[in-house]
Amino acid sequence: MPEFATSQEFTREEVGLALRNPGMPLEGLRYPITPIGMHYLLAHFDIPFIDPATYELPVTGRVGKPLGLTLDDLKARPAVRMPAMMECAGIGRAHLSPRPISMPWHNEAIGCSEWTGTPLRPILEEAGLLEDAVEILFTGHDRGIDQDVEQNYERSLPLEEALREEVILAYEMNGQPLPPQHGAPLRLVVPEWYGMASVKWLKEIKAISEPFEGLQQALLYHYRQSEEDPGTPVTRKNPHALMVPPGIPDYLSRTRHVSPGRTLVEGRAWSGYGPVERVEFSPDGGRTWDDATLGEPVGRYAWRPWSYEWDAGEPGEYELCARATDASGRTQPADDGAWNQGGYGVNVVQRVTVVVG
Amino acid sequence: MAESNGAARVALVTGAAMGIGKGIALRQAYDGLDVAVNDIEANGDELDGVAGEIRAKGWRSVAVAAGVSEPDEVQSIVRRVAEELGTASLLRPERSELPRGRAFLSDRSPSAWVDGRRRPALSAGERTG
Repeated sequence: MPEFATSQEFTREEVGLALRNPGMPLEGLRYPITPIGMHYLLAHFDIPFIDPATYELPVTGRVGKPLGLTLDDLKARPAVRMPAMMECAGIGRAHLSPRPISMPWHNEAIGCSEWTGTPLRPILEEAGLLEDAVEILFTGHDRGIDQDVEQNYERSLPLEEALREEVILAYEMNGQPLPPQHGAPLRLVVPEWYGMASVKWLKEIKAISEPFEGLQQALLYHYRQSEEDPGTPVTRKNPHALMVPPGIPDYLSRTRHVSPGRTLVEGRAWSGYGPVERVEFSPDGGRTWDDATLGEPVGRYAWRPWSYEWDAGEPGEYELCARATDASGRTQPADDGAWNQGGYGVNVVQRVTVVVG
Repeated sequence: MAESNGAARVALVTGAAMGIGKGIALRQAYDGLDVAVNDIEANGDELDGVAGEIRAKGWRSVAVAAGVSEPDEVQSIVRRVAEELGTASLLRPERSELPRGRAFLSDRSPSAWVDGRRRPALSAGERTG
């Protein structure tokens, strides 16, 4: 289980992980579809080197007819191109105190891509799920050691989730072949869920008759308040609104400097529990809120733009916040409302310090 | 969003090939509904385009080109939508069922049809469910 830090300073290990796993600079929120190189990355282990020419994906386990699908086989199947927003479950971890020592995300573990691939469900139907199949296990080629256990990265989905029509096996991102760091040659895309479910570098798909108890499933990616707490699994994305920090930044502190007068604050919002129905903006650290204007979502599983015309008023320091509420009624907590042991799904309201003058 | 958002909901929007009807159809998708779009057969290509645009963004949509001036036409549209979007219970044309779905009449629909009987025309975009 994680170690914790209370210092504002990051450890060497956290910095090392942050260098390997870049985030999306928040000014990238301006793009409805994130340019590939701006999209966040999270690879638990190394990026595998896989030859697409000899690639084959076995579909095995509790099925009547095991399959072996080459990349050409997969591309010959019906293709869908779908915009979907991706967010790492570790988002916001660096805001927590005490802070679990792991990938120290702030708010930038996000991106939205157009994924091209083929729906998973018809493949499972072709393989013929046996009656005792309860979950589908997705194993990646990426292999390493976590919590002293050597493992391939692997995660399962309950059957009803794996069979949803928007769950696809993707081989293109923004119209280009999947880049190595994003799971080439083939990855799973599970819209609405945090990114850990969208297993990259797929090695095998296996129907299983007992719930998967692997480390990334049963131990990690749980909301727990203590080590004894059995917790609940991390699944869908919590509602989240983020803004493009307005004005210009100070190089080191990233404090924003904005001229007096009207400033259009823009951002995007999303939720894995239903459409975003409301975004609010606060110029005073969350004491007062006003409704922002919502724009057209980029797609059902993508984010939705919002904007707020802020009158910066008197020179001074301001703390800008934004928060989203979705159709299920879920919204974002203030500050410590999202603390959990692993630092998952943290969607506390964004705070951007702005100096007007 | 079916599971996370309660029962799946379906909007059926008439006159949806262009203009206000198309705008209403897109708006229903943005609100998280599956959208059936309807217009007269002469606008079939544009109607397919609207359904395609909605589907390309990840929502479910079906285009049904047919008139809505006769009860049997309406019944057949409703049946078709129910088959394609799997929501027969939501769109069964009994008044008591309507609150679970939405039906819209755009400005270009000649008459009300929602329960399969002619009723006084509704204004554009008026919600019947």
